[in-house]
Amino acid sequence: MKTPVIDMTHIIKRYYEGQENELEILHGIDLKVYEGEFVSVVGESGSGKSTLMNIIGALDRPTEGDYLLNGQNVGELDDESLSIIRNQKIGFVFQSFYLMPRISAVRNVEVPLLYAGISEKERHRRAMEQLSMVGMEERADHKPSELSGGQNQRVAIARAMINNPSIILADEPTGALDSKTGHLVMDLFHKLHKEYHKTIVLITHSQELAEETERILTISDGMIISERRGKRFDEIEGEGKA
Amino acid sequence: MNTKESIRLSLENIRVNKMRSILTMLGIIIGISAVITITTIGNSLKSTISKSMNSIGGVNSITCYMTADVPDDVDWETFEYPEQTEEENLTWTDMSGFMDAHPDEVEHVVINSEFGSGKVTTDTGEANVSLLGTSDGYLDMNNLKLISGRELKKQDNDETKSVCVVSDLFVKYACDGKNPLGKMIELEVDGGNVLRVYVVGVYHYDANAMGTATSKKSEKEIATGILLPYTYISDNSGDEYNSWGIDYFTIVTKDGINATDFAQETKDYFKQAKYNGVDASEAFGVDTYDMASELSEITKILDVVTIAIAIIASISLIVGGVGVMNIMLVSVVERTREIGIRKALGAQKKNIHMQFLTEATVICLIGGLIGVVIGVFNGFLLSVIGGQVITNMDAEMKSMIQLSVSPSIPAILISLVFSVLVGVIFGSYPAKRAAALSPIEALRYE
Repeated sequence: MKTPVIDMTHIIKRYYEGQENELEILHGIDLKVYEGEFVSVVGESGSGKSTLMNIIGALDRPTEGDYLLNGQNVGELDDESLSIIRNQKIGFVFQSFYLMPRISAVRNVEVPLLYAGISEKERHRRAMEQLSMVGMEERADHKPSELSGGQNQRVAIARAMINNPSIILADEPTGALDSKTGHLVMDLFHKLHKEYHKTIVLITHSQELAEETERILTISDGMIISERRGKRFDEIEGEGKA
Repeated sequence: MNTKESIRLSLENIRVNKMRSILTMLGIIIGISAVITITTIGNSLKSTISKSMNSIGGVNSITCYMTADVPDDVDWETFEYPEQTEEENLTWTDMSGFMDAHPDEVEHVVINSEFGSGKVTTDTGEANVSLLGTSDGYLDMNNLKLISGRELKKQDNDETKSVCVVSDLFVKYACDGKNPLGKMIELEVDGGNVLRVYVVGVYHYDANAMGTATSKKSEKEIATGILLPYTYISDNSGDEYNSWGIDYFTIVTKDGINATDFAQETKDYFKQAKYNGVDASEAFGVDTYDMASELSEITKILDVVTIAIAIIASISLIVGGVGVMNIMLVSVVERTREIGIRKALGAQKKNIHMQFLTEATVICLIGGLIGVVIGVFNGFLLSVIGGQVITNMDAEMKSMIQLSVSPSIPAILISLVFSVLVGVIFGSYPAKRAAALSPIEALRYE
């Protein structure tokens, strides 16, 4: 049995706590993600999946419940430690890429290493390595505005990979792309999963996309209501990988 | 993330927003350039004064004069100066003794006593002259140039030689332009004595240096000085010129001697050697006046004025600082998304804080540097224009003023430190705001 990378027990998230307009978004989420899994969280908008993603990504703390990331209780950490967790353990891929427009692709990929205190030379070397992994090494000096959406998302994936994180957390990574480029990006996630054995959590509202993943968790109204294996996962990754 | 990275990011941001950055810097540029302009002018004024004074024989010379004490509450109706006795009179022997006692400090002791004036007639012409009883160093001290022959020497006084140095005007009008060296001229002095002296040197008459440029006489009318050894002329003229002895002389100190300090030593020397320990403030004695201490007084006043104006000018720096803060606050709002991304990728509060603080500081420092350049340029320009205006007003000043423009290095350094401080002070609030943003909200910001 593998050890869980993400271990959530009864996570509750409330906003405006104690005030008149108090709002409970997550009503007690239990979630375990094991090392090397490719999991998708599917839900309609307003289901609480973004809130869940924020908590998984250590961008936010749960109001109640325990969230252990690699055995570390994230809910008890201060802002600074959360920054370090985000830097070292999590690789974010966002719907709208969130690349910095004024700097080149390779400099964008380097950013997490900047905050990890890596030297300039080493940063560049590792960023180029990740860019070639996503097939973007030839466009390393282009700015985001000079790249297509799919290319930008590949740069963003290279950035997510650069610190060799425990999990890749992708929030609607194909949401801003047409279906063809969206598929190419999904292929890249499969590659990361299959060849680099990355643990991937994919947040999406698309049932079709979710079917490509190993395990589908459906979230509705702040609760996980079902869990099953993706129909097309074996077909795509195949060869008895899972 | 280290400082180098922060500076690099700041420079990138400044470059991307060129126009805005320059407008932001404008307040700092104006403030710093105003301060530097003022200090440059002040400093130039200072060095111009000191150079000009030097050129007219200033800081190396100590003026000495005989003085008697006049009580503060004197009743002028009945007050009479004490009689100066013959023993109290200073003679060349006293001067010689003083020089021998201070061989390392004294370059010359210049005596400048007038022994009447009038017309000298020779067989080749005539010229107006005044007879000056003087000594070695006279030409130098008055910025006069020797054309031919030699100057008076100490020996001429020691041995009471009958020699003289005449002006080129004298040569032109009294000697018909012919070389007068070795020639004997006859001078009739008050009392009817006729002195026969030999010309040993010719100097170039310079109206400015002699301080007679304002007189509108024709060249021929001008009475130029005939320089004679003091001992010779005083021995050979009437009592009316000799009753006070040497009552006025100038000491030219050697280079590297502090004239102000040596002035005190001079007073002490004459008090001991000549006046039996009696101070000049109590009876007759030697008192001094030196340019160096006057100069330091003027310089002090100039410094105070310069600093006061510079401080007033630096108030504009605060206005500039507020401008920087304003733009930085706008910049924080504008770059909220970027801050969110950086935070999501692991930037800590201190990293974001550092980045914005560095940016504000770099903006201010660049503004400061530009301000220094503009300020030095302005100061240079205004000093030169000012110098022109003064010399155009008065021709006599022209030769005296030696314009020297020098920016004040301490003022430049202080200004740069100040602009960094302005950046740190006015950048810290925006930086704090940026650092405090929540990553989720910052990411969601449109």
